Amino acid sequence: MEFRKKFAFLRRREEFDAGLADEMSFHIEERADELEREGFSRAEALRKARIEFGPAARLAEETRGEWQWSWWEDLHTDLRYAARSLVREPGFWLVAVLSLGLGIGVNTAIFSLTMEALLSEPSVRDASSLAYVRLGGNSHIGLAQLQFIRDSRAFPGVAGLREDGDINWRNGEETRRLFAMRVTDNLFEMAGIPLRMGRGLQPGDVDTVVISSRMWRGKLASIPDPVGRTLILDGRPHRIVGLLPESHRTLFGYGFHPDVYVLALRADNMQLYVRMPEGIAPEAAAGQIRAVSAALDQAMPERDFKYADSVNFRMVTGLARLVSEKSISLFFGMLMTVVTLLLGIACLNVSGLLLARASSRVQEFAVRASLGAGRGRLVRQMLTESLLLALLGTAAGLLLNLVLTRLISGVDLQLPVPIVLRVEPDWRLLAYASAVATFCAVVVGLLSAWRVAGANAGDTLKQGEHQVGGKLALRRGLVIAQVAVSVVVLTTAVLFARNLTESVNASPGFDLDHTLYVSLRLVPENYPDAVSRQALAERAVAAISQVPGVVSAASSRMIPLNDDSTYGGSVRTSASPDPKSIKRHVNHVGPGYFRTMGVPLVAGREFQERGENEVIVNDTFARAAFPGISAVGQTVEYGGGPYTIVGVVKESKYAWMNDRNRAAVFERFRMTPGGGRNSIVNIMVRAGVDPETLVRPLLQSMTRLDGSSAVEVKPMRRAMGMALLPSRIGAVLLGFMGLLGLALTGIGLYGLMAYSVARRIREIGLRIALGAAPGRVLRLVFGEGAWMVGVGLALGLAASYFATRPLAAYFVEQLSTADPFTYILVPALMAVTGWLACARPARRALRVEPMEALRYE
Amino acid sequence: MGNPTPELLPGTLYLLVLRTLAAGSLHGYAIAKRIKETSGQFLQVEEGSLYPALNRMLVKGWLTAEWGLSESNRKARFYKLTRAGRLQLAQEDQEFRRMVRAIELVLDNA
Repeated sequence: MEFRKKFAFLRRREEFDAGLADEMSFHIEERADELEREGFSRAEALRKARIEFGPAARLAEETRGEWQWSWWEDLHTDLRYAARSLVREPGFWLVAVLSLGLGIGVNTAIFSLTMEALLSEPSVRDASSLAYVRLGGNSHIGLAQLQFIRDSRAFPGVAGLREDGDINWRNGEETRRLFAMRVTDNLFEMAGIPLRMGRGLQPGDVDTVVISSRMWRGKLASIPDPVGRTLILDGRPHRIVGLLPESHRTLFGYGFHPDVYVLALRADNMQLYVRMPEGIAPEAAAGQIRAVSAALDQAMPERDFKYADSVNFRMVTGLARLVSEKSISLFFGMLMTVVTLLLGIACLNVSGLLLARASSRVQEFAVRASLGAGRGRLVRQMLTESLLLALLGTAAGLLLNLVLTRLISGVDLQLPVPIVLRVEPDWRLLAYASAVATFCAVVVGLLSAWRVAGANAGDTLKQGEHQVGGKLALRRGLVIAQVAVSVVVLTTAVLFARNLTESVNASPGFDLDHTLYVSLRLVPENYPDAVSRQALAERAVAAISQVPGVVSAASSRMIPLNDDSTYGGSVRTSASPDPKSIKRHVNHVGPGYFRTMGVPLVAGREFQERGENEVIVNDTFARAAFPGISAVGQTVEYGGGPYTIVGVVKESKYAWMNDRNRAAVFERFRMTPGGGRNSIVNIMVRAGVDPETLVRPLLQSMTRLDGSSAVEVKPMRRAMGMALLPSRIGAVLLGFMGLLGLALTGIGLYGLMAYSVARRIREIGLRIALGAAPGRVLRLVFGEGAWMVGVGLALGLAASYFATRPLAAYFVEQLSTADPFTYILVPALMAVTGWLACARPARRALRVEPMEALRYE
Repeated sequence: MGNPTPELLPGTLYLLVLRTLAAGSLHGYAIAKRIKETSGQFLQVEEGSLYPALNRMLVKGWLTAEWGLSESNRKARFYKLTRAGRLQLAQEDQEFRRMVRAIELVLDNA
């Protein structure tokens, strides 16, 4: 009751005050009437009545007090006080809020990105009981094996999906390649994937398809009622039975966003997903999977391995996802570290500003303390101000975050694979941001409150602000720390920027400017066996060679810098009785491939039209397998074989620009039956003319060859999206952060210098009065700045030298983490920033009027 | 101000105001005047305590207030007893009388 009334009062305060004033003047006038009747004049009566009434303000205050909570009133006062200072010192608040906002905004954006890329929860029912299972160390298993596990009924649900299934979509005259997720008929039901319209794929379905909202919006131009329509996929009409929601996230993760879901083909290998029984312990689950694998080994023995030998599983959600992707999580770890450093700089900035403010308010607080304000009350006011600062900072940060995430989501990654990172602010983010802000508020608030509380009121009042000395050391320390941290961030940023320029300019070891790729995805059903496929591939190479301007063409299983495959395991060689373990890139290429790509032969020859059991290796492999002797003519054996080495080629970049020391083995290109990658023919083309002019003729030539196949032609120069992606992301993200850190540090340095000049204004005035030349005054200011920047730089560079070492793995070979260019540029940038930060305070110092300065006494 | 106003006994202001309003609604000035008159010019309520007390009683829900016109045709705020106010009056009245009787007993017999 009371509470409600008091609460209601909060909103009617103005009305109440006006009413009280009316009531008081009514009282006075009534009394004046009475006095008038007693014989006083009207003016005299009013005067007397007012005196009798007493001080109206106090009465109003007390009356209002009946309606208020005192803590609320105190808060109100503190906030009003803070708001007044906001108007009085807009510069301070702007810089502080901006610092915090930038720190928090960037933090939360990177946080969202990390969460989305690594931990995004797939769109399924109860993700916490779904696990991705790997048997025998394989990422995928055959459909028959999957069916066996499903039939064993060891788990409530078993389903599979294949993430890299392509499918050809014939749309009028044009055939395009779509990214298809191939799934078992029960996946939708087992995982509980929500749909926007229609239903999922079901057992018994024939030629049905579920499409993504992105496909519907983009390639289908949002046609009304998509469900029930038909798409010609791989030459057969498929009925659209469902439409996925915009927010769909696949079980596969990492933002992979297929155009369509279709049923798996018989020959597909699948990722195995299992629904765990409720409440099962991880050990029990692992035991169950092992038992099923052992049964599988009994029923369907494999030649090279046993399923039960290596069994592991991870839940599809949560941190466990990261363990298997070390290089990605390392990169994001670095990103988060840099972002935290940035936030540190921002916090140091705000601390510095608040400290400066606190020391200029020492007198004010001393006066208030001597008038009876308790120390707790003063500390509380400081905390209120910092909390307000944090609140405004968080608000600014969230705003910035909204802008940043929108930018990130809008970026077209230009990848050969559709990756959609749906970065959006969420509750985790809000919690994170408010935690960060509260942390800032408490740290910063306590720092400045401690500072103020430490001052002795009496001494302070006697001395005045200008003599409260000694504590500047703390602020100097903060700025030096800031410079050092920002140097580390900046060094990292410059290294990543250098890496990008080096990557773009670096030679991948093959001829980037005169090559193209032609990628043909054939309809598996049209070419059911290896023979017909091989014939098509050979006809395609022949047709391409006929196109004017083409110098040569050769088939290849992988497109360099776009695809990758790595094999581990032991290799038996004719040079030594002991097998060697050599991790190697494996590709299958046709005759003339190396001539076409411009990869030099070190020894031996290329594949010829005929030849069996031959391989070509790169020099790195040759050195590892045959140290000190010629590899040509030797034999190697792994999985199959023995194969005779007929040639050795120079190592080049296979998947990424930062590949180095990668052994590689090239086998003869041969088409195989089945879907997925097996239905793709890649042909590398060497052009005698500008590759761009060959794109159309090559497309036409392939369409003439087989209209049902989807064709893609791209000059290699433009096909480096994937290979340059890490460099690009690194350069953009870190470049941005480096600049941010530099700006924040500049602001911090400026704040300190401006404050320091203001403090020493008397000293400077005295010096000028005694005849100091302007140069001497400038030296005073710049000397102090240079000293702090210098110390910070030295510390920061030393720290960077060690801290950036682990990043070498992300950089191209030519770039060392001790890159001289970087270590010259960073100090130069820092020096310029320092100079800029000192310029204004220095000008202020030059303009000091001796008389005015001395009058400060 | 030099008025030889005796201090009100603590807590009695609420009782006096509630009792004064029991007859009907009045504005602040009239409440002070009525108390002064009925006490034979003896009790003078300070404005400085009257208005905070009135507002306290509003918060407690013993009174309600309404704007109206005074006899002098001015806008005035009239206070009125609520049900809770009447109950409070009855209780405080009883307690006060018991207290006075007890004090008298001590003064007469000790």
